[in-house]
Amino acid sequence: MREPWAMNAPDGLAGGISSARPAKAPVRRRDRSAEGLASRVLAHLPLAVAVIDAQMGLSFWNEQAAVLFGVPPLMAVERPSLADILVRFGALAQPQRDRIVAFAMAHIAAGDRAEPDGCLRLSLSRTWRIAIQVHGLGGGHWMLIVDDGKVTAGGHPAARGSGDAWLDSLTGLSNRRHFNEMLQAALDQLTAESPQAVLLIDLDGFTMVNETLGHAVGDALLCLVAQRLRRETRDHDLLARLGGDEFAILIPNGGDAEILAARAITMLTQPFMVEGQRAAISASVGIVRIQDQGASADDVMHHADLALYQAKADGGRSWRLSDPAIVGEIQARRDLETSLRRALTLGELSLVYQPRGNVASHSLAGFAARPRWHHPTRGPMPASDFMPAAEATACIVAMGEWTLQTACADAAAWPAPMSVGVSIAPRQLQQGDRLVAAVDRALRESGLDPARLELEVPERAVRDTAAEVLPTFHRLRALGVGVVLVDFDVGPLLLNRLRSLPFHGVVFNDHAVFDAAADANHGSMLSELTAAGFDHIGCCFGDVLTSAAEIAAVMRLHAGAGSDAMTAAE
Amino acid sequence: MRKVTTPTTLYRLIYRSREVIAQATSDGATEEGLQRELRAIVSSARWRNTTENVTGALLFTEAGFAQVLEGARETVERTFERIAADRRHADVTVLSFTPTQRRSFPDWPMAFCDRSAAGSADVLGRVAEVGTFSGSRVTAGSDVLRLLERLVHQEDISTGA
Repeated sequence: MREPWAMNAPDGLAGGISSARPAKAPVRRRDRSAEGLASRVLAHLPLAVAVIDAQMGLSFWNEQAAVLFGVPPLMAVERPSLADILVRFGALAQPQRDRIVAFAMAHIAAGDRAEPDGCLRLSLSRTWRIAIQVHGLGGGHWMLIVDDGKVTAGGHPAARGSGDAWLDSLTGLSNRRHFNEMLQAALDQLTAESPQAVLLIDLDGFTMVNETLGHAVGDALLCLVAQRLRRETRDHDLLARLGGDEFAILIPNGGDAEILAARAITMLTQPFMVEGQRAAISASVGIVRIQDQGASADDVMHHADLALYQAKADGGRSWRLSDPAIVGEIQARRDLETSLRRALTLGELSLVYQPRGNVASHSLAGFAARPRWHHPTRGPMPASDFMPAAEATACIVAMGEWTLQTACADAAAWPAPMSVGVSIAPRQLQQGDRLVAAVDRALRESGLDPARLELEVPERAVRDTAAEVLPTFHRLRALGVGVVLVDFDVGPLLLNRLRSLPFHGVVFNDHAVFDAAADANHGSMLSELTAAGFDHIGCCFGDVLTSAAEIAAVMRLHAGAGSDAMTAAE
Repeated sequence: MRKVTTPTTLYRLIYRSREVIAQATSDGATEEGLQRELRAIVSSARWRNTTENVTGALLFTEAGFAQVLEGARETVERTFERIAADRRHADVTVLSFTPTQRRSFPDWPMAFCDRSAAGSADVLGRVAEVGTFSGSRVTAGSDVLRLLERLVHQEDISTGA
């Protein structure tokens, strides 16, 4: 029987709990790249894990630790101290809390590379014992592992030898452990004649069902998902629930993996009637064809995960085949997303404000908020260095919400009527309900007069989808905020369409303005825009402060258009 | 396996779907094959529904299927799971799923109305246009229910059932 401490998480577990194979160290080797996988592994570990720094601030804890200590899962902006956390752990007596703190302190004193020095065992009740060990992780971090005894009460699950150690208790499918072992066994026997494939299936919209209809419905839905997938698989396929809303299929004859993936998506997109409720979800699938002999289960699942990530990033309800040629590219995008999420959580982002002038009166009208990233290794990065890449990731939505909140809070302290401009990403527009809610919340929390908030929508965000996002614009305008079209490239002007959008302003990109200056037709177009009732027509020079010469160019244009409305801000 | 709160409450489910019999079966592309598949669908539905105390009606036109299922909630959900997995139709859209006081088709394990039924193509054609807005779904659901009630009721009179 393996002691839980022998797992040496996360390295030992990242390759699956396979005692037959020598433990490699894949996770630590490409630490960041496997961060997502590692954190998911940690989430499924039957142990509570918390990482502390030398001041005993918690910088990370897994879900089990969150449950045990009664703290929210994942990272928090503040780092609560271990002592504070332990106070919330009601079952602990004061002397026991002190012993844990002293135990951790002794390890910290021994340095961040120190091996665990024994194991602190505490009795919380007659039947409840916990065991704590501290590992030095290097880099000023120590890992606390708490075995709360519940999992290991009858020995380690693997050693129990009972059937359910291999089964997912909710759905009756194979569990992650069994899947990993079977995958490893399949890899060991892989020959050129017997191609294999792995489908990694993640449900789209499941969180929403869980949140709106409740966990009981969510669990029942997972059972129906398992049933539908079971119907689509053949006897020799191995279907497993890896945890949460993630399923996997190991196909010994991988030839028709794409057909099965498409079929699974179709089936899971059909409506579900569950517990008297109607639930609509869909699924995304990452596919890996296994051809390389000597590939590890870890590699396969990592590639499946990247393919799945790509399917999700492309909007979900689709499958993607892992392509070795672009694994690096997807990995880079995913890494960026992970670091951006981290940056958001740890407060590495800040806003810089670019002045917005009123061209006519030569006075300051307000500021445009632009995120700046204080990257831990690369130093301060301007928005232009990371925003284009960030826009390709789902993280942009959370970033946009943070920007809204922060900018509104800052602007509320400025003298009225100074305005604040906030960029809205195309992805945010696609999630109209969420965007409207975020704007509303930012305004309510900051108390900022809605008229002083100006949302900047890049033209490319509405180029092909104007009709779909139109209701969102109307709802935003109904909140009383300004909506301005930015990065507007004159080109073949779509004035009619512009008129149909409830914008109160247009900001040209620099290129367009200079083109316009050279073109009399564009000049008249400007006067048309003015006549069309746009309050705000301006020009923006990216991150560069508008220079006097450039303003002069705009003003010449303005003179040509014969209107007084040409200002860089209202 | 799971605890359900009121599994025996009487529920009515109405859905519509697109017929893809030709893709799912070897001879579904011919009229003869299509008729055979439809007979098979109806007879297996009747057989199962009789044992499960599910009643309802099925409408088939060029525009696809529309079906009403009535019974204990849990049974209706289970029946729907089976229907959702059937490869002979696609794009299943649930128009309504609500508790009901009484059955609309108490005497029918599965009444069947096909293309020849008066007005059916119109209603189902309209129903097939149903988008994702719940308002129009509700209307479409009651349209289907009214049409099927009328057709089945007529049949009851003409056959003396």
